[in-house]
Amino acid sequence: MKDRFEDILSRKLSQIEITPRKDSFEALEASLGATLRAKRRKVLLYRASAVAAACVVALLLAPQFEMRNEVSFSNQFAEVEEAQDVQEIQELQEFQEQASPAIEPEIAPESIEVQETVSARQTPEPQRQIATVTPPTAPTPTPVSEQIEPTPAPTEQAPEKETAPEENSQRQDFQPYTPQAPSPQSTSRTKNDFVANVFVGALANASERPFASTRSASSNYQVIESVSTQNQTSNKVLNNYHHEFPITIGINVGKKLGRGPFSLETGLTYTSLRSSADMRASYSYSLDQHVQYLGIPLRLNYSLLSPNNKLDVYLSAGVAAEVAISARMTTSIYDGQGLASSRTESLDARGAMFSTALHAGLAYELSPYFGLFFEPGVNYYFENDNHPTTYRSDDKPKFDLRIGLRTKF
Amino acid sequence: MNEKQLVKKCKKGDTSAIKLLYEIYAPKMLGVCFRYAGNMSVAEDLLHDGFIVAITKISSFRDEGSFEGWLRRIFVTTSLQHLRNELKIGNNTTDIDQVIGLKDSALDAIEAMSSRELTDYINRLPDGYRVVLNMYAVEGYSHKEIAQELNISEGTSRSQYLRARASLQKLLEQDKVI
Repeated sequence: MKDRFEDILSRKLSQIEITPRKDSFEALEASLGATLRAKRRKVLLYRASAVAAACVVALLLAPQFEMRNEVSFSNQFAEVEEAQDVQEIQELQEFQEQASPAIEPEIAPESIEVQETVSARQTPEPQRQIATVTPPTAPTPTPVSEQIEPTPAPTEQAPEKETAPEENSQRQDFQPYTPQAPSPQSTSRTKNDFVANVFVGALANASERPFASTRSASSNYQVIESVSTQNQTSNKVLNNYHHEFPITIGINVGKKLGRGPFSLETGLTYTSLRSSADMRASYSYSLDQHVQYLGIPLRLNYSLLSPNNKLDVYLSAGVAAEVAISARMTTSIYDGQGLASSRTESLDARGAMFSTALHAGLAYELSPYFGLFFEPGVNYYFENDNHPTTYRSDDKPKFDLRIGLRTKF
Repeated sequence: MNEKQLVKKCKKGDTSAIKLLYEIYAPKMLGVCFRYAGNMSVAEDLLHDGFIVAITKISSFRDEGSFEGWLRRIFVTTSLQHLRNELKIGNNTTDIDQVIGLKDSALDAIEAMSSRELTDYINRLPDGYRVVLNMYAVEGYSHKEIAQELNISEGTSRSQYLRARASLQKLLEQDKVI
């Protein structure tokens, strides 16, 4: 409960206004110049990144169906070729029987059973011979008289050849395709549809040159945004922002989409972002900020090499949503004698931080179940005004490198 | 453009919005800084530093609260950070009873003063008295909050406040206002 004295003071002093000097805003503007320029570019890059991500996804998805057909064809190729050989021989035999039984057919030398068939074709009933092609190890002991006897039902192959043209007969052979058993060499790679990645990643901005930090030269600070503007009016050296290399660790689980080159990945990531600002105005300030994020990425991978290779080269495009689990800032003020005071406070970091990413990856299998991967890439973090300014907030694409272990199961 | 839209533009780094924000709030915030700093030169420096901190942190402002309240707190904190090292407040809670009480004539005189005149009187108080008086009577901090901010005991905060009242009355008597 306020007494009269407090009421008077509150009334008279809380709203007291004093007009500042005319040039005071210019001094402030000079101090904030670089920060403001960076923020203005944010909206433009936001849109450009969204369009680029959409284009990349569309380009990756477009050839998917063609690729799937090619993969199926290559898997069946040996089977098809074998079937074609047999059928061609049979058709050739049929033709030769009809045209002239006495003509020696030109047949593939590798087929022993065909040789036997040709010799058997010298019998008076050649059509029956075509229908009863048998392996060489089982030369038919059937007497000629029995072979001549008409059979009540046609054989399995004869009606197909009579009723269906060549193309149709081939198609009927391939359409009820069931996946071929993988070769022993590729068993582990083709069976393992799931992939788990454990990785550590570091963002680095190659477009920015390191700035001579006010901290020690051995520090790993990298300046991505410098607002060390010399204030001409009051001769104050103003603030520099320093952002440490953000470190991300995470685990992803991926699944192959069908037999094609695509796979889908998701997981959990933890990111630590540390920043500081040294500000020399009327007094010397130091702002130290630490923001930690947990994120869920979702990305589509496109493998450029066959899954049977130990080496895999792939492209990936994805999105991620991250929420801040901690955001704190410590503000310290220094005088000529050192640290004068320090204060730590929580920062507002509401809602999710969204980002897109494009990576090119190189993976190598050390064993059928374990491998290493190496992924350089580029990320873009969408604007979220409810999050503190960090390394990601300067509206520039961020290059990163991820290195990790991969296991297949 | 309302305050919410203005703040949103400032978050995006719109220079004209920041300038407008500065024009609206700089006089009020300079008043805050002046009350705490006690002289105009230091107050102007604190105004500059406080706005840099405010624009740097503006993305952390929650839209549901009062922006002016959020801004004022930043300037009070900035001022306190500057003053904290200079404040020499001992943990002395004795003889509080001797300084309790403010004459009605003093209250009448204060009531009759302009804001600037009253500010000038308060700025003549010792730093510790002035800061506690501003925080408790003007900003509405509790003694517990003041104790935390200034790293003193609650009793010391109360003592400083009562001494500030008594000192103000003495100044009025010295100047023969009462």
